[in-house]
Amino acid sequence: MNDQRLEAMLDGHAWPDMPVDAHERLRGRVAAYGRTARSRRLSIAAALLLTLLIGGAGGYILAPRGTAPQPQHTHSATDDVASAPNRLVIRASVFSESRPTLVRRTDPGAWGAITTN
Amino acid sequence: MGPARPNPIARAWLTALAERRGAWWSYALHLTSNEPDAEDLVQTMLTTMLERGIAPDDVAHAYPFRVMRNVHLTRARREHTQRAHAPRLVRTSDDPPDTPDLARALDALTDEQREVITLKHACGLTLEQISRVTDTPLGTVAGRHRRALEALRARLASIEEIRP
Repeated sequence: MNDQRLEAMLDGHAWPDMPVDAHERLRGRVAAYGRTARSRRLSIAAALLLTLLIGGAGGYILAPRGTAPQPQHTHSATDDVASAPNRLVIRASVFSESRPTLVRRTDPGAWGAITTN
Repeated sequence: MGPARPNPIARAWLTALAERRGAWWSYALHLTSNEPDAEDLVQTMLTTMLERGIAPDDVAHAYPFRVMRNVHLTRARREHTQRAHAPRLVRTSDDPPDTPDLARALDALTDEQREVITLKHACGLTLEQISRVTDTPLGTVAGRHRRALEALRARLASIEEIRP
């Protein structure tokens, strides 16, 4: 048997083919991957947009006029601007009031005078 | 609203899978020796391509074979597994009548020789492409192919001789 005939036999040999069920499973996974990747990209884009919106607010809470508790504050220039109807007004900042510390809540009267021998 | 369609790269790989599944399967089966691992290997190759955003037309015809080989070698090294010596090329009922002994002769080849024969005749790669896939010098690949043909010819001749 010469090389040409042997190579022809090899080329014409019934090499194992992918089973139909394996092919279907792989098809399903590839198709699902495309959808999953797009869904993942959309989720990332939505998360980025949300982050930008929150970050753009600069830590302030935005509330329609009249729906948020009115803070006690003195008259300022922004009050005149905010009095226009259908405007969003910055009412308060989550950082506007610092929480009292333990030191401030300590009763100074409970401390005695520092004495020396 | 119907189900979302796969993205363009995934659609391109679906087409490639339909066209090249036989070649990918033959080589994956040669590497892994069993169908579940072969399926996993083809899936890993496809996933690698999709994750990298590589379309079938972006890479050479031989590139998926290289990816499968690298993935398989990495796994084999990690798991320290010995390759099974079970017959890798299982004959099917669709075998042409003139090749009943060819599968047995192929199983008698060394791993390197069988890899070259599989890539050339089952996957349709050239010796140069096989050289790139296996990261082996072209002369070595050509030598393995020549010796594989010699071994096959001798094996087939001996089968003919002992046949009553």
